[in-house]
Amino acid sequence: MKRFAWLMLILAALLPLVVANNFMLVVACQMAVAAIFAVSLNVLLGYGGMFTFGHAAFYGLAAYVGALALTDFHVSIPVAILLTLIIVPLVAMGFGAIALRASGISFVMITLALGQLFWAFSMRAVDLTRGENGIPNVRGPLLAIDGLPPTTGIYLAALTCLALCVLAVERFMRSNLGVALQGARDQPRRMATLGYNVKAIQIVTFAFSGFWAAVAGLLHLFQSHYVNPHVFMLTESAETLLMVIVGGVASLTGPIVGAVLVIFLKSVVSMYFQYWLLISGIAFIAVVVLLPDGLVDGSRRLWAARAGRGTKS
Amino acid sequence: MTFVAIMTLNALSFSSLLFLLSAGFSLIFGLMRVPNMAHGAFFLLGGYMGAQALSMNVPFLLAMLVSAMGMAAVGFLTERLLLRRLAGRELPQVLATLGLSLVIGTVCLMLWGGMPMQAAAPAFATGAMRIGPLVFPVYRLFIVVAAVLLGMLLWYFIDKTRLGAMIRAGVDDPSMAQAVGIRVTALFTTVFCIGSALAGVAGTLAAPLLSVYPGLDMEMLGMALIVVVVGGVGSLLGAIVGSLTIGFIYTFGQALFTEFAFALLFVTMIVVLVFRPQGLFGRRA
Repeated sequence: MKRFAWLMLILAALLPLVVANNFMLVVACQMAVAAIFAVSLNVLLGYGGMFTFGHAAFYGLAAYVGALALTDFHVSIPVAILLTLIIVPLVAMGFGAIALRASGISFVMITLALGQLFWAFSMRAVDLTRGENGIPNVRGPLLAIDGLPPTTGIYLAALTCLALCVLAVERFMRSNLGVALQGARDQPRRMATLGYNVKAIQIVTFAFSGFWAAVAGLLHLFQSHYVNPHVFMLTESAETLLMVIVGGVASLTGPIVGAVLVIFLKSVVSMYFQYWLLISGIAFIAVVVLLPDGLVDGSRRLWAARAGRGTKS
Repeated sequence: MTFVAIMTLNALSFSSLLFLLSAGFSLIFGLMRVPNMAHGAFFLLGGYMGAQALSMNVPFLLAMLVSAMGMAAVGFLTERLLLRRLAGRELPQVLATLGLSLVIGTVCLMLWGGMPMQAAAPAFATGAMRIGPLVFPVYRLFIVVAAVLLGMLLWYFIDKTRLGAMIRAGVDDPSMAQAVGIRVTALFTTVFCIGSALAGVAGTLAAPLLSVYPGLDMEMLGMALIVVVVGGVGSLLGAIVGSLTIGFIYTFGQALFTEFAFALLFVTMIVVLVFRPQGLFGRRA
């Protein structure tokens, strides 16, 4: 399984040499960015059992913090990146601390409401965020490679980040903290009785997940050089949720497969049909209704059967 | 003084819309344990239906009725064809209604386009009304009156009728309600239809005031969520108090410091969560 994943990564890295046009590379780059974002969501969802609807908040916030630091505050690119990767995990911890006041379905609702507030703020705080128009022409690191399509650099950067992200999540889940997190997901009361501070574990996980969501957000910014309130939209969180659920919760590679599938479908559909969200909504309903046990278990079983020993969870 | 009076009316009319929106949302949530993620989309679709009827010169009250009936039908289909298949499984229900909200939002965009659709206020509620030195737009008063009347009707239904008592029993303890012979699943359908119809009415009432536009669905869903978090789930009183709190904070916030009106809602929600996680009038789960 692991060898297969590395092989896929190397093949993906060789893509710029074979594709004919830049558009395909842009799509591939979007896949890598979406995959990082989906993996980061799955840290909360699959491993942490925390069903959040507000994950786009961290992704969007990273894009905005990065963009504002580079435009209005004129800092250098490394400083902007550093700043973003410090601020967003802190905000994610605050987000988690508030949302974890509630549990179950109330938690879901609060994450959704919090996420919506980020969106509203990006729309309304016009002086800072420039409202609906967003922030155009944001500088990015110059990653152009001579003789290859212009997106090559950022695409390879995204792939590298994806590999790092997967390795980091794997390490995290094998660490004491990660194991405790999964324990807290399955048996919160027992873990609390054993002396674990369940809430603290979950809040730290929010920071970890927020960090990788921020990486995805920054990559998105550097690829498009533009950010607008769309990054905060519920549909963005929902789409990522779809990726995770299609791919399989609580497996490391599932969300990546889901991200590739969803972005592929989105790119193909968008060429012929203007209203992608209609398809995505129908996909949601279909996944949930047609697989009574949820695609989550179904895909995990299938995946396990195919991979022999199955993936780590 | 004038400012405060006018802002108070604005706040009251916005709270009225929020109440009509969130009362249904809260009842559905309380009874079925499912936050209906499509509730904002129901508001949007109801608003478009009402605005469409109005643009075809249908009398206002009839347009409200059309929208209410239309949304009740949509709610009926949603409950019977979608949620019933997923009975008892909260997360799939949340995801399914989220998917439905995307579908409805997109269908509305396909049918009515991206431009805001404004409806004319009814003839009997246009113009301004003078009370002493103050001038009030009549339509806002009309919204408040409509919400108060519907709220009283809803209160009578929930508190005084046999069906209402069954719904309250279902909210408090579904399995016990079932054990004493109440058909809880039938209640689900009823409450879902009522909630959807209310969202339709709210959408139609909002059409002349806010106009109807793509994205309104998610805005309103967020509002309904905050109202219910503040007021507590499954309680009519909670919906009233939550709507008034949020309506006033938002309206005054927007007038006094425009950019942070939403942040204020957020602060309100946090404060309530910290001191009363179950909401002002909710029961601890």
